[in-house]
Amino acid sequence: MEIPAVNVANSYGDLLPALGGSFEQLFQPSVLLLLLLGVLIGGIVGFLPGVGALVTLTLMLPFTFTMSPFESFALLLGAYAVIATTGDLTSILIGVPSHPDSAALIMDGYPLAQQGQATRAMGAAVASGTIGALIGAAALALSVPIVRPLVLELGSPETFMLAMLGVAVVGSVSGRSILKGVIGGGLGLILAAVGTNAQTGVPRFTLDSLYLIDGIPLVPIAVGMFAIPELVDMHRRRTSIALERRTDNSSAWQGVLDTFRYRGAMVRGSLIGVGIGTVPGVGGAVSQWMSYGSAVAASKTPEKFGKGAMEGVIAPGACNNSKEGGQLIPTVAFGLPGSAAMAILLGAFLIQGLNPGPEMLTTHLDVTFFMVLVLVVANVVGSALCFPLLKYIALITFVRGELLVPFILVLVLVGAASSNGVMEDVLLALAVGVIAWLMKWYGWPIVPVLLGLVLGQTAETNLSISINVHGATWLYRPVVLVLMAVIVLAVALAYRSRRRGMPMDGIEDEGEDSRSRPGTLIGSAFVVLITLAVLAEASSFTFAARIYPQIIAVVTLVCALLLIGRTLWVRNREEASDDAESHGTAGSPASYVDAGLAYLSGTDVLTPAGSAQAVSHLVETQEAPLAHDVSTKRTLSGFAWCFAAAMVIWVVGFVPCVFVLTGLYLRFVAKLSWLKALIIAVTFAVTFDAVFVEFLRLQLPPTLLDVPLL
Amino acid sequence: MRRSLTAALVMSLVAVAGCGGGAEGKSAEPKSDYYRGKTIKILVPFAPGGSSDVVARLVARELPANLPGKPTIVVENLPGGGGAIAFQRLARGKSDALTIGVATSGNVLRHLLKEPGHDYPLETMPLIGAVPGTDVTVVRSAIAKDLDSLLKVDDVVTGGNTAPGSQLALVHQFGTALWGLKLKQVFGFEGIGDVATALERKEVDMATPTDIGYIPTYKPLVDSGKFTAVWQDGVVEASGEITRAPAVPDIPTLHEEYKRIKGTEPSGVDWDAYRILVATGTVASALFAHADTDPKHVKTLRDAFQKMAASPEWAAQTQKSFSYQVAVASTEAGEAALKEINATEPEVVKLLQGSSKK
Repeated sequence: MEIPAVNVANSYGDLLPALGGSFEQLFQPSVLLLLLLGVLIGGIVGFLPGVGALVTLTLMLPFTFTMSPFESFALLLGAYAVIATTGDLTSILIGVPSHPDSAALIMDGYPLAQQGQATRAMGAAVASGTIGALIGAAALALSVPIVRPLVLELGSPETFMLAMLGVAVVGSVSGRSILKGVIGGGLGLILAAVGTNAQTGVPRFTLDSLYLIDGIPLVPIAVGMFAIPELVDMHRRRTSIALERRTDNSSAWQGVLDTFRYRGAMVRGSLIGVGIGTVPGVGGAVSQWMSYGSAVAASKTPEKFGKGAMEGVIAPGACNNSKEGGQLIPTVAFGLPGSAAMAILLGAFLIQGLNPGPEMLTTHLDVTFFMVLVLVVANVVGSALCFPLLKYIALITFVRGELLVPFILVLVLVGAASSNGVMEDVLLALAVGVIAWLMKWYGWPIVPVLLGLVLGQTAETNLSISINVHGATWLYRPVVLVLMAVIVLAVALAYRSRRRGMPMDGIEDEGEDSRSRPGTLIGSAFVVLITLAVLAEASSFTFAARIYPQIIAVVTLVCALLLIGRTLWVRNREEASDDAESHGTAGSPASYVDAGLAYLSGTDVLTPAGSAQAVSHLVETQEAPLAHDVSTKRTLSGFAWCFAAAMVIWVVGFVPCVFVLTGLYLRFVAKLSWLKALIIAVTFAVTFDAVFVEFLRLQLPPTLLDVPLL
Repeated sequence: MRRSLTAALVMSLVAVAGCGGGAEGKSAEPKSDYYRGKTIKILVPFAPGGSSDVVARLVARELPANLPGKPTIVVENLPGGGGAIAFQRLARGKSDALTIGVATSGNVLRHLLKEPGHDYPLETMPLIGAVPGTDVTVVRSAIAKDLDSLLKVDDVVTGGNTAPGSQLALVHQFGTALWGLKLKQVFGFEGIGDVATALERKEVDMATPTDIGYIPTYKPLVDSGKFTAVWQDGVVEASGEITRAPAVPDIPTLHEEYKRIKGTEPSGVDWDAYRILVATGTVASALFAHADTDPKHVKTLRDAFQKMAASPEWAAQTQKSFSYQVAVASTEAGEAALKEINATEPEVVKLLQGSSKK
């Protein structure tokens, strides 16, 4: 049962006429108009945290019933292509990911915005995204004749190995202590095991809650993890995002030039996006971190990462737009959606009566090529449209933080709630926000947790299928062996760049603050408790359901105990705060990643060795350090505002919450006059209602009191 | 072309106004109706994009024109808990006939098996209408080129499926058991498309897609000779008879084949369990209203649903999307299937409950 050779021959033979046909379709007025419309809508919606591609495409789907396939894909793909671009801009501007796929842009993009270089960073993100999209589209076009045999080579064992490759990235994003990174990744994998186990039907770690029975949703986690700590810190800091109060004298063109200067990072990011995008289940939430990690590993100046390295923006930016071409490959060739947004696109295929599979590469080849063209045109048009606006968009980083907080908070909460439309989504995002804040405060990296959560299910499922189907022989499959070698290489590269990083003056000593050691101990103790609870609960499962979480929990537990042991017994401060591998390598790229993470939460929330120094000089120039008690009080009140907002949503709903929160916050925190606060609150509430309730028709949580408002 | 231009125009207007329309339907219709100017919400218990979602959206699109007062209908995707979250919300909501829930066969089955969270009163919720579905059993042609040669296979046959306890997994298990086939099911595939690819990769030997998933993904590979469709489970008619589903009229039902090959009517508790599973397939996508809905509104909705199914628009759109005209179950057939499901013997429920966990 080999792939019929005739498919391959046909697709080569039909290549040119099909390409011609797709060009012809592109220049139909209705197609061009819909493409433009898609680009505009996608460009605007892409900015909104948590709403993103899924809601937009879902909303558009019903309109495509009466369209031709070309019109339908012009609209949907046009929007989808641009959402990735503007989503990246949100990460850069306010340090909040508009969706999980753009979180890596925060690492260096947000520090650049804080340095008053938002325009340049956005210029680089847009430019690298455009070129990435072109590379992705080219990959899609070139892969047409070989795509089916190619994807058929990627079975469950290969998918599992790719997930492991994603896990190996933990090394690049785990800060100074690899041990802490591994523990974070382990916790993420445990979180991914929550819910009904796909292999056995056994509900695991659901705390008897219906909400958790399908597992932990990604969007509230990703949004809460990055956004809530940043919001609380904006509330605490009371400054604009750009800490240096001067105008942004960077230009978007600089960003474009940077993209070409760091073309290695751009090309690698693009290729990783295409390659990983091709694998359903691994996808965009991982490939961005892989490309970020590759940029760190390949950089000659790894110490700049986390402080605003242009490569740290360019690599994931390129990856985010190239992955669409990659994700389309399995969607078109097999009907396997690589992401939730691709699943909706698959719905559009169905509506058109198109069968993803061999037909798309033979009789409907013109549609496939048309999609390539749409990706290219939408990206170019979208970038051209937003490019001249970047300068103005960047002005948001010069607005007083207090004026932004209520708006961002509302967008974050509505983004979280839109994943299941229940109150638990909102509460989960807030709880994760508190935990993420504590982790940053105590010097624990948060990105490994996200990676573990994203990859956990793919890893377990594909490992289980591999063993069930192939026995132990899956280990000897050629692609598996190649991937093993790649993983070893990736780890070695990350390690080498860690060692190579030049220590900055005195950084090892300066950054070691009083929180590091108790933070390590308290955190590890919590991890021990969690893993013991997991092991206790898992003992009641059937063997097939418990073996995987048990292995993860034991490894995590051992790492946590090791960390406690080291911290307690090693007298030397330097060694005590770290594990053996990173000893003496402070100032390595990883420590700057930490610095970046810490940066997100401001100067006096800095944690591990090295970070404080890396950042403090930037901040002290324009901001007098806050007194400790003021800082604590404001942090607590920041969380209080978040929870109060959630309570209002729970009792009377989102629209009243928008009004009350905005009005009170602007009056009492931002100190606007009652009149101004009231006017802004009413305007925002009405706009919110119009956009989210009436137009996007988001499913919002049911309220305790049924108050018909507006 | 012109229609889509209009659609584009409407969308851009909507986008600019930032407001979801709904004011245009105030033209001349004399009767004053309950639904005039109102919005009906259809709760869909799965993520957007799949074939069942497309069916629900198609209903949302075509139903308003057939309802007096031409209300707006919106779809809300509320995935989670195998339909529990959407149906809990429906059951706890208002009985004003403005919220309708779509149940899948898995939904109905989980309610029957009393799985956690599925304690909403489905048996008293009025059925508005149902799109019946069937499951098709597909095998790699390298394993068997027809059912008769499949039955001679002595080795264990590996079946790929999404999750244990799903309607598809159970119907596959009980169907193959009736033939005495040795089946090992591998779970964890994302969807029936992934199983098709696993079949192509020879990772598994057998799959059981629904008809609506079979047609786009499996049928081309069956037509090319790579896969073989060996039987379908069929749908239960109002008379209680199992017949071929209209989507796949060429594939015989297991019941037909059983009589042909074994020469007898199937019987026994395994057969009873299998029959119940086929009945849940008959309500593959079923619309339910709140238990306390005014019977007047139920009738309005039911009539509109049947009128919609008979409309040329429905025929044309389903032909375009699914390459066959999707027929809906008559109200009687849908109610008969639900009645049979609700009257399942406790012994059969227990058997199915025991089979739904690995």
